[in-house]
Amino acid sequence: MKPFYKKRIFITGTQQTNLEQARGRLILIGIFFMVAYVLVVARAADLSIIQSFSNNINEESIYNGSTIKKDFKVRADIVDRNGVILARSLKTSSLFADAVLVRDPVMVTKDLQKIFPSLPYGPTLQKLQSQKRFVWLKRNITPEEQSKILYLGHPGLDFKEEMNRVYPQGALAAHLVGANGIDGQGLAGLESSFDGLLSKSNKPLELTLDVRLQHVLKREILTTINKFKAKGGAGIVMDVETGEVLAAVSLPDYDPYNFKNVKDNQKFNRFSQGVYELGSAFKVFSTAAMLEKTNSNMGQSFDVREPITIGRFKIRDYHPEKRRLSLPEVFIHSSNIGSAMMGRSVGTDDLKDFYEDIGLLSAPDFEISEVGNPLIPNPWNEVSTLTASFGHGIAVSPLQLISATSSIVNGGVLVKPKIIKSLEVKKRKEAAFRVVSPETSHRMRQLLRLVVTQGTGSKADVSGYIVGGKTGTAEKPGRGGYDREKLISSFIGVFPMDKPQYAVFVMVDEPQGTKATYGYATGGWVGAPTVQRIISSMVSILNIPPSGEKQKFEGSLMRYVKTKEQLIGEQKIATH
Amino acid sequence: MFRFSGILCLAIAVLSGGLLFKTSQSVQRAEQALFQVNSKVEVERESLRILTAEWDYLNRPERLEKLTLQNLGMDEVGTEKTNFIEGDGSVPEPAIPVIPQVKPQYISIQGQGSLAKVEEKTIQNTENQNFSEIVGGQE
Repeated sequence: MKPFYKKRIFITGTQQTNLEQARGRLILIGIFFMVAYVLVVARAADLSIIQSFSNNINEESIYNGSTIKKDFKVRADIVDRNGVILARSLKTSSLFADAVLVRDPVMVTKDLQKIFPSLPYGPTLQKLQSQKRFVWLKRNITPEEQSKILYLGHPGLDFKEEMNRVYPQGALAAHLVGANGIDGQGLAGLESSFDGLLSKSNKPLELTLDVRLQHVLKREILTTINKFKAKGGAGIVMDVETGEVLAAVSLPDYDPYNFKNVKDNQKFNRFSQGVYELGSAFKVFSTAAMLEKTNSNMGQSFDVREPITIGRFKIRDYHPEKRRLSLPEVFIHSSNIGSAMMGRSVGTDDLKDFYEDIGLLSAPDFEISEVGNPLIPNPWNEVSTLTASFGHGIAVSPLQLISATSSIVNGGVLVKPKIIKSLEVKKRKEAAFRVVSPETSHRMRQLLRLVVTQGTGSKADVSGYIVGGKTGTAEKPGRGGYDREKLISSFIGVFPMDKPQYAVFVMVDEPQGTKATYGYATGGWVGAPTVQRIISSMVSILNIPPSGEKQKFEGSLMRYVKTKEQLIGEQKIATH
Repeated sequence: MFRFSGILCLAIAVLSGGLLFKTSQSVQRAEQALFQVNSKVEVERESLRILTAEWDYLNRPERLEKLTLQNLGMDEVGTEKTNFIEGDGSVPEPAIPVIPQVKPQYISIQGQGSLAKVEEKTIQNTENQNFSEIVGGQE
């Protein structure tokens, strides 16, 4: 008998259709299960044989794969003009505990204290006994610490990856860069004012800062502060053509990693937030106003023998010359009386307009939020005009002062301070706003050079380079008037004077005179040598070759200046 | 009962099914490989981010200044030393090379056969600060 022989039975009649229907259904169900079985077998083979085979090749991918998180935003970097990193977010681990899973809280706390000696015993134990499912134990730990904790093998301890802000330059540019909170929010400086952009953008925020110059500026101001036992100081280096801030320092500064414990004195930004009566540096502006607004010439002379009395005020000179001084002499000997006379000849309205034009009467438009409003005399009367001519009764920030000076020496075109590097720099000239004529600008450069060769700023001279500048010494306002013991000594330097590129401003708060300076703590003794050292370092960093001075830059102005030898000679003739 | 066309259809169906399976497998494998490459790139990128930050940390002007002075005896070039233009205009004689105060040590590393320069010990001693300390350390 054939094994697969099928006996065919034929039923006829009404039963036939029912039987055929049932058979059809059986076949359909049979096919369905067969297909399902084949699918299950195929999938089982796929998962157990094929997939496992291909997965075996790279088992590590499962571990590494966890690092890809596409929606994960990394806060943008902050870099200097050469791409040196000032702030960057890096992934670090933070330790947390699932207190329910911790078996022996006392032992875990003791073990953790061996790794983190600063971890307080009581609060940590309390956290571990709290039966909460999530408690932070230590944020931002190092990979080494993490491996030690993993080695302990305590259940319930786990890590969460977080982004931590790192400042490779430390406190170097703390007041500009600012600081971040533990959850990544900006708290100060650019971190705060560009918080939105930094947290959204992937592009680094490029600054005009140069860390090398920043270091030099900080080093030299710190040296001066220590030498003169001063309370603090500030300094700025600016490109006079573009207004780019190449370095800006405020001392004392702070460690950005420890922002919450920083004292207010350290947090205070002295170069853009602090406003000070900066004294004689203002003579740059009153003299420029005089040259620009009146028909004066260099030979004009001022009688500075007697103090000016106006109302209850008396304007005196710090170094009285007791003779008639020419305009350049008023400038280089820093005569308050002479400058007040210049202010008077310019007139209140014109002087005020001029100060407004060069940005001294309103807060500068700067990219960080720590910007101070200047203190302007209100109401502005004639006395205000006279005192504002030599920098008293009007308080501005160092940033305003250096921007205004840059605007005058660069040929007379207004510059605005900026710290963010932009591509629009080259277009600036077309949209320029002229504050003084090129002639006035040239005269002012000659006068500034004269201060260094013949006047109060002689200690700022750098051999081989044409440095110009102006000293500033102001008494700080105290109770019931000015305090003669508390000075703000400053120096604004510009170089090279034949084609100015850089302005350097240094300000020292309450310097104490030393034996080496014969007890003086004025701008000429404190600020000028500091600027001299800064410029000496700058030229080697920026590769500026010495230009030498083939003929004296101050040139024709020397006709109006009597040198010490000439004065001694005149005295001799008079006594004979 | 089985017509040729039916067999052909079945064969084509089976073949295309097999082909589809093979394609899906190769796509899966390619995707996996891509994922691995991407994650490796990501890991590399992250370590590069750390390394460049560390590089800038180690190249702080303050530190370089201290190390060059301490180990090489090199001080800043003052303007007096560079200012030869005002003189007779001649280029000055090349300076005698500065001899480092600490002699660099050379030791051979096994297996490489060549001499490899080892960091000067003084550098290690003066730089106790570890970069990882500044990365972490906040609570």
